[in-house]
Amino acid sequence: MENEIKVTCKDGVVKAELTGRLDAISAPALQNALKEVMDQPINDLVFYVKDLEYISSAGLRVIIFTKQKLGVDSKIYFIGAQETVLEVIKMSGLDNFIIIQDAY
Amino acid sequence: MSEIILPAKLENLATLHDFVRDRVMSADFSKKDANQILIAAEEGIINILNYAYPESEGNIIIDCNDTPESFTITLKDQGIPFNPLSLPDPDVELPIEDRKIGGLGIFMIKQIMDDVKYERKDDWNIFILTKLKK
Repeated sequence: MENEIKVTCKDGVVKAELTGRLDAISAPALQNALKEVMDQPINDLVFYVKDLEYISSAGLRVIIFTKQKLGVDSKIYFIGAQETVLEVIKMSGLDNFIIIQDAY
Repeated sequence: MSEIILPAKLENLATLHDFVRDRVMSADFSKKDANQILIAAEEGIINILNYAYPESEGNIIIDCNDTPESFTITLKDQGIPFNPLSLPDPDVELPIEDRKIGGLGIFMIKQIMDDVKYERKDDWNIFILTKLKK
């Protein structure tokens, strides 16, 4: 599957569609795409990850970094995560602050 | 046993990753285990590419050894002496605002693999990651 990152922002909700692999190779592209939309007020950051096969700590770092920039009141969602991705989220303790759901 | 040697540069990450992936995928693991092993491998590779040769250039050697009992990935470099296992584990209970960004990769390696060893031999860093087949 091709890696694809698509980030849009509307009414304080950032929608990030991730396809393929979020690893050390593709994470900088996500970081840059998120930076583009972070100058506006953001309440929710919603990752659509049903087609995300793989996430490594480079990907997790982008999420931690983004959450730290956004502040305590923002919420982060993972929608439709596959088991491999869920395992990594749990392993790193990020399930304490990422809201994992089937739909947003 | 198969081996790849390349300059330890980020531009080679994809090639190194594909080398490990081809071998992990042909070993007898579930897709979930195979993906996790790849994540562990990536963390180890990235550490070498980013930190092993701060002021010089050098190579990374990866070899993969698939046996009926286990799959072992050995990562070698001749960079500055560094024992990844000397890093403290990150506190994964901390609120996200207080999380440190570093140390997570090694922590994940330790959780994913069944045995993780570091050796310094002559001027080599040798990092050996083993996953058992259950």
